[in-house]
Amino acid sequence: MFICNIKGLRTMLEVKNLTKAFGKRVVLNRLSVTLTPHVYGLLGQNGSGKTTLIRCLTHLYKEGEVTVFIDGACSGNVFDYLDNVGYLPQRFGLYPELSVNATLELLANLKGIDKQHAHPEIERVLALVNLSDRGNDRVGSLSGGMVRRLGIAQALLGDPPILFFDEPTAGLDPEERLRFKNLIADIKGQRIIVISTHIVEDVEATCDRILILHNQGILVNGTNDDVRHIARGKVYDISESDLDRLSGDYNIFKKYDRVGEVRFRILANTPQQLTPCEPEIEDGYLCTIKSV
Amino acid sequence: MHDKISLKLTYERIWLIRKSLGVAFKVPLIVFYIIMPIFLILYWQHSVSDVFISFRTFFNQIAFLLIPFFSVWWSLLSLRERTEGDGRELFQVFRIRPSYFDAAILFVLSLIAIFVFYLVAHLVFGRFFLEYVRISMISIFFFGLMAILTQITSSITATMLVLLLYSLVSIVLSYQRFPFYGQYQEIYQAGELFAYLKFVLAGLFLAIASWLIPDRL
Repeated sequence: MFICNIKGLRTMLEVKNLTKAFGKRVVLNRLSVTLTPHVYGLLGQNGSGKTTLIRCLTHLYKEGEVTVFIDGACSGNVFDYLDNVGYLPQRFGLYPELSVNATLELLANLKGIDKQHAHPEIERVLALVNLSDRGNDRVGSLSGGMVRRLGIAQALLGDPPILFFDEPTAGLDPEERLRFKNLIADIKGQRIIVISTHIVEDVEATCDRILILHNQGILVNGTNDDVRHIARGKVYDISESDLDRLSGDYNIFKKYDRVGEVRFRILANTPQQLTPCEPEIEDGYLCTIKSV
Repeated sequence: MHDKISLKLTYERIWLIRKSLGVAFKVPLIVFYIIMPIFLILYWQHSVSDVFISFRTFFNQIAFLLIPFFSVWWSLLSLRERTEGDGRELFQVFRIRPSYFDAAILFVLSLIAIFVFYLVAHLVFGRFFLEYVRISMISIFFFGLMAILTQITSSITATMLVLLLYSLVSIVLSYQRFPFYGQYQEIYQAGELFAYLKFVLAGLFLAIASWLIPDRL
């Protein structure tokens, strides 16, 4: 991994031929992707390699050739790249004995920000995650959702141009999930933000590009509309009585109740004698991973 | 962004790490300044014969049992978040191998706290400076042992138990059978400390080796 600066080129992260295996189990195989300033939703099944990919991008795993272009920063080594990265790990709960303020002060220190510069920065990030009034509380006394927000806050310290969030909304209540979505909308600007999640709804609301990880590689790298388009003409929303009219190869992936009527959402490989409905991102995602 | 190893950042970080230890920070101070003096005073009061020689032997026994173990207490606990904490991979993203640098500073602070204890002993009983050097040399070995065990086991509890066991075994076994602990008799000349140089070298070797072992995620 190295950094180059080309005048006029904005932040860009390019991964080539990334292969990562744990023993004999290959998780990522010759994966290549280029990330430019967008909010990326990283979708995939459990074990598909989302966390592994983020760990490679944060240089926790040294595999792969990752080239980083950061506007205005030129050093030629990985350390300067990591100075420009904010990262929320899948699990976060450091320093339970310290107050929220002290924890952020310590993590800012580890990022190379001294106390004097850290204080306004801590106030800023706590306001962003709605924890300003909990600054003096011990981390150990916070609820799971609050600790998650603290984790998001620490990733934002130093205003890094590259952000990786691994399951950022896990454990957050609906109001805080909404706040997180608004936060992303506020900060995205000229940044690369990668959000790994299982919650398709969050991706739909926050991300402008989607990466679908499947079979050890990135199967889809496109806009939300591109992902929806994958399922166009393949999704049917039908009532129970229409089930008999289905033919060929199809999957029932959702059964739900609408105004007292049981309905089914169908993904069909073969055209049906029914009118397809407007696909959602979830439909495109399912079509991708189920090869519909 | 600033230089990560600047003096100011290091000072601020050590202060925050100290706070993060909570009540556990006080434990070595309680041991050095309350528990050990109480043991020594009680022994002094109940000694009947050959008081001074046996007192010094008892002093060294207590010191060998407690001081090396508690000399690495702060350092060990300072590595807790980095070793076991939820989100410990952040330390690698921040490339904080200097966690061991912080642990080493805490170890030095610990040696200063121990020095105060020995200084008082020196003022009260005399001839305790060489004993301080000897216990510091043994403590350096403990620091190295602590560092390598933490890196290998990735467990603070396991490391603590092994160090405790080592301290206890060292007391139980005689020095001929247990190479890493010296005699309890008083040291009269600085030259006698050469026998303890192996502790320092082994400690430094283990500390460097622990530095070279890759972190686990």
